[in-house]
Amino acid sequence: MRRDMEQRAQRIVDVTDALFTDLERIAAATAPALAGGTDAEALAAVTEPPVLAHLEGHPLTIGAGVAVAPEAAGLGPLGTMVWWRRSGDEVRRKQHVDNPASDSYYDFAQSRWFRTAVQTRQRTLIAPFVDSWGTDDLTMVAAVPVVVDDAVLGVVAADLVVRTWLAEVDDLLDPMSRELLLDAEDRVVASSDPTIELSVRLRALEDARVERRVPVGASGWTLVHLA
Amino acid sequence: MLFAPLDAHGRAETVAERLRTAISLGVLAEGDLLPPEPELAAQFNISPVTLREALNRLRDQGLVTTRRGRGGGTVVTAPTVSQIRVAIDQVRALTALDLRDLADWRRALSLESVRLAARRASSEDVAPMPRSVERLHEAGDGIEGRRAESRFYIELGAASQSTRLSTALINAQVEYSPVLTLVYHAVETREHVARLLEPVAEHLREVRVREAEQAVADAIGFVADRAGTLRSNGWQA
Repeated sequence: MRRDMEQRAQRIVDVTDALFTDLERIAAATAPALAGGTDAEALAAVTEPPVLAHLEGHPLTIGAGVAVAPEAAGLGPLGTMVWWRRSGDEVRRKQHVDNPASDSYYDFAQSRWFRTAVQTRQRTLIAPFVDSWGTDDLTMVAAVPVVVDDAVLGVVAADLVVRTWLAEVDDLLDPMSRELLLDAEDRVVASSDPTIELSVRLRALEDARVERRVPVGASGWTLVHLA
Repeated sequence: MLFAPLDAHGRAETVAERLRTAISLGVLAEGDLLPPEPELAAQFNISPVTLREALNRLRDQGLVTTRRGRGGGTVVTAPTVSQIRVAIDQVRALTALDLRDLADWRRALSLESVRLAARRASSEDVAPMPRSVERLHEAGDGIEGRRAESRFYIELGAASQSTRLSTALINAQVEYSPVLTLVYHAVETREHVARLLEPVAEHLREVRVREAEQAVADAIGFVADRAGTLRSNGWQA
C-alpha cells in the first residue's frame, strides 16, 4: 500500500517534470543577459524566443516569463518582469503595472512564487491561489531560479492551466481511499474524496485523521491517506 | 469593468466620465501611462475621434497630459484635490437606500470571504493584511485611507480562494470608493476601523471563524453608519 503511494507520488511529480526541465533551459538561456546587466527590452529580446517556444510546446502553461531580482545590476531598484501570455491562438506580451502608487501595482518581489524560488533555489510549485494583481484568476505557478555565480539573479516562472493540471493529478489519486495531495501548509490541492473541499486547510476539517503520509517533490508537498 | 465596451452611441462625455472615475479611484494612478489611443478606443469600442474628444476634456481639467512623439503618450496627472471633488460629485446623488444597498452587498461578500478564508487561506494569503491595516492607520487623508482599506478587502477576497467572490468584492469596493474616500477623511474613522480590522489576520490563521466574521462585520457596519451620518450632514466633513 505504501509503495503504491510512493509510486503515485512520483507520477504526480512527473506531470510537471518536462515543464520544469524547459523552464530550467530558459533560465540557462537568460542567465548571461542577467549576469551582464541589461535593460528590460534587451532582456525581453533574449527571453522571448525560448518562452514562445515553451508556450507552443507545453499545453499545461498559459503564461511564462522572467522576473529579475531587485538587486540585479542595470535594472533599477524595483527590478523588472517580462511576461507573455497565451490568449486563444495568440501569444501576447503582458505589461504588469510597475507604478507603486497604483492600486493595481504588481509587486512580484513579494509574490510567493518569486520568494520561494529565490529562497529554496529549487523547482517550485505553488498551489492554486487567486492572483489578484497578475492574472486576476485562480493560478498555479511553476518557478525555477536563475543562478549565476551562486547568486540568484532572477526567476523563470510559468502560469499553469489549473484545470488541466488538476485533471491529470485527479486521475492519479487512489479512488478506493480518501487520498489527499497537500501543499506545504497541509492545504488540500487535490482529493480523491469529492466531498473534501479543495484548498481547505487540514486543521479546518472536522474529521480528518492522517493514517499515512509520503513526500511529493521538493516543495514540501505530501500525499496522505485519511482514516 | 471600467473599461468595458460602450454601446454604439457612447459619447465623449461618458468615456471621459469613466476615465475620470478610474483616476479618482486610483485605479489609474498619478504617473500611469494610459494605453495607446488606438488600443483604448478599441477597448471602449468608440472611434479615435470620440476618444480624442474625451481626452481633451480630461486635459482641460488637468487630469491628464499628453506628450507627443516617440516615448510619448497620455499620462495621468490628477492632483488629490480633484479626486475629492469627483468623490463628492458622485455621492451627491446617493440616497439612504443606495447607501444601504451598497453596504449590504459589501457585507454579504466580505463575510462570506472571511468564512471561506478562515478555512482555506495560506500564510501567503494572510501575510499582507497586517500591512494594509497599518497603512490604514497611518493614512494621511481619505484617499490614502480608502486605498489601504481597499487593499485589505481585496486581500480578503483573494484569501477566500474564490475567483467569483474576489472579482465581486473588487467591483463592490470600486463602486463604494467615493463613499469610502469621504468617510475616511476623518482620522478617528481611519484609526477606529484599523483597530477593528487589526485582529482579523490572526483570527484567520487560527481558524477562528466567528471572531473574524465579527471583526469584519463591525468594521463594515461602522463605515456604513459614518456614511449615513455624513450624508445627512450634506457630506460636510
